[in-house]
Amino acid sequence: MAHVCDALWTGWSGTESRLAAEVALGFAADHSNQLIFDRFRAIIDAMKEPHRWLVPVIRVALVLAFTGFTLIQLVGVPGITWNDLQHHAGWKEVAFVTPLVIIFMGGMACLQVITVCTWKLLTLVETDEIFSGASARWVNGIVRAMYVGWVLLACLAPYFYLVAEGDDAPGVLIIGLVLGLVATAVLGLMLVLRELLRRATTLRAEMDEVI
Amino acid sequence: MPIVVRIDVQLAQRKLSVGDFAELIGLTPANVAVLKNGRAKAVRFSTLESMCRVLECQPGDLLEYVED
Repeated sequence: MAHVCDALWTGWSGTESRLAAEVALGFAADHSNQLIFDRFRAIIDAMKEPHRWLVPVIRVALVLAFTGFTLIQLVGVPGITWNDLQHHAGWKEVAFVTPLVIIFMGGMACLQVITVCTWKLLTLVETDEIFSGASARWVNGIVRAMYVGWVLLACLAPYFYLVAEGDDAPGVLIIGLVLGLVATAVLGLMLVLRELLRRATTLRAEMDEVI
Repeated sequence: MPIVVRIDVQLAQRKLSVGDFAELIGLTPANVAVLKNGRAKAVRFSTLESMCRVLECQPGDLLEYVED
């Protein structure tokens, strides 16, 4: 991670290459640019040390998360459904539970896709290829999984309503709304990050042309 | 590109090989070739500086504007 940041940002922080960047990209060498570049350098310097162990830690977290999602998907959801159907048998219950099972299985699948894509992106970070075209594929994978996840969450909305109405628990509706808002915010953030990555990739390609 | 990098003339005058020149200014021979063949899109001031230092000349001796 550290050397990736290095590779990208030394171009911006080093005085000489800063001039080159300004010449190459037509930036004016005014004071505000100077400030921005200095701030970048400070941030990157501060991030260097912790990032040495950050990638392995994220990897461990990803493995744990993936295992968790798989357990929920293959053991948790079928188990709860089986238990539920044994206590309340009948076609009505089956009709109620089947979409829930599909939504939860699908949701877990989305989370698994996101985990795998993040793993791949980490590998790209380690090999200093994150700002190449190769990262677009995995970031797009994450964004698509998030779209699907958002739709699945939207499909869950009637259930929140039914539970809130049936059990007279209006709080459930608020929980559902908050969940939806969080999902939308995360999706929006991901789209912004993708655009940032795209621009950084373009910039990196441009800087690579500078001799 | 209407901007031409005239290192070949300077190199010939100083009887420097491309390989030696590349080593002196700290570039890869491949990048020197890019400069020489006019395929360079942008040059660092630090590169220009070391070229001027090694070739003992002014930037104007290295860069030339030629109408297409």
